[in-house]
Amino acid sequence: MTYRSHGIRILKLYRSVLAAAAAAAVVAGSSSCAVFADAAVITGRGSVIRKAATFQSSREDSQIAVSPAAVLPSEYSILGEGAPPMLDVIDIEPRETTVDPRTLDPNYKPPYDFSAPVPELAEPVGDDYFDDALFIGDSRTEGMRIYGKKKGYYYSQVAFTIGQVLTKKIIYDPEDDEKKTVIDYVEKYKDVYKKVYMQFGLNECGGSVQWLRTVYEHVLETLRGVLPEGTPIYIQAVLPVTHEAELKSPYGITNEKIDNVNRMLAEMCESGGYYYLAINEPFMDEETGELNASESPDGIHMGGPGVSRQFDYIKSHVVIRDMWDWGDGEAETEPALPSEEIGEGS
Amino acid sequence: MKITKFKRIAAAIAAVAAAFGIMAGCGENNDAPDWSKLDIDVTQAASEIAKATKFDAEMVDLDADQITMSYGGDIRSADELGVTAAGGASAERVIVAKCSGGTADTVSEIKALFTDLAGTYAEYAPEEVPKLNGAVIVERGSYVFAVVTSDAEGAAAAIDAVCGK
Repeated sequence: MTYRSHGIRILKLYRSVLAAAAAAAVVAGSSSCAVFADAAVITGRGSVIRKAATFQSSREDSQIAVSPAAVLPSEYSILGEGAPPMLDVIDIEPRETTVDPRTLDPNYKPPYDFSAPVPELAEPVGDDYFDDALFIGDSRTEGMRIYGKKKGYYYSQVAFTIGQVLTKKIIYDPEDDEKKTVIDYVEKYKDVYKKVYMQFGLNECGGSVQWLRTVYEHVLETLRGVLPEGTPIYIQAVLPVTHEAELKSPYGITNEKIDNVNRMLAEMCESGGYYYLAINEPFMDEETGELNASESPDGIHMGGPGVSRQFDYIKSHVVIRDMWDWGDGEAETEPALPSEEIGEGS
Repeated sequence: MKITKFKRIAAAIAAVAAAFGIMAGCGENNDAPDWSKLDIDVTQAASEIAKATKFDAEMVDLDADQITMSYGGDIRSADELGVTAAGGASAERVIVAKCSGGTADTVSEIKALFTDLAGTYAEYAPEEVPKLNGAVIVERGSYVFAVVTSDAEGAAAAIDAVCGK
């Protein structure tokens, strides 16, 4: 459905009014200032136009629509034929705002966007979320296993690489009294894991990013093949390293290379339907993009506090099933997963 | 006659000396700990040794599941394992193993594990290799203590302390 704001006449507020409005908008947040005047007009132009503008602006600031009424003096809240002389009226070109009609439905659920990182939840999940979580990764996952003190299944090793998930026997299975590869172990106990978190890329970032993607995708497809259908797989971005770690890395690990790997991981998630966790972002220095030295004793691996922050990020970036539309019939084919979790798309 | 008397006196002195010697020997044996009666909690022992030894990284006591998955395939001969270890790229760790069937096999398994780890760390984190190659490994009764640290002296003293020496 298209709303056309026919002949909307923008009422230009006098400087004094604008100044007051702008000041109030600054209080509400600088991002709302640019659309404030637009919303002020909407206040006096009826509900349809108000809705159009609301949806138009909701991408940036959902509070915009209510700001003008709260800020303007009551005598300027309704602007029309009897507008006071202090207001000028100017004409602007009609414009179109396209709104997905489904968004008018209060029960509307948007489709999940695999091209973007997993969005932040309003309320993080609890620690028991990890009880049936599987973590597969390198020494950084080892750090999560040891320092995190969270239940879950951690199949990790120092210097572990993504390809070794299929080849290296690192897990002892007391039932069979033998060491197994991660993939063999996961296949044997596949019903135990309700979500999977992968963390690879640091040990591989000195090599070809394309080759890493090829191997990573192969491992993920193999994992999908052995896990129950719909088991969500999260791909953690590679965390940055400190500047000192860059300088002394024997493998030429740099934050630039890590960024390249992370771009690849994001693309891989989009094309493969995996959940990309931008867990690197809270650890990046705003100016340099490097890991802050205080986060890591050796410039690469997190200590206890850093690992705690990693888990906090994960807890607040979970894909909740009920928040998203998974397409025709997909929800009905979901395996029986805990109600708060999402099981589609990975 | 005089010679016979002298022999008797010499024999008496020798007997007294021998008796003192035996007594002295017995005294030494009484001071030496009887490790065969050593009975300790492996988890607590590993934790205490970790606290009393200097490590570069933060050390954490591992739970039973973590120990089984990480060490069960390498240290098979032990009845019980207590492990306190560092995370991330550190090789530092304390292993206390109880081996009622004898300690020799467990010592061999631990040495093989450390040799294997040293190979992994050689390229990944070479600074950890000397700690693995110079790990403190001590047998006491039915227990084996293994500490990967650059503080070998502190580790040895800590092992003595948990054994009550």
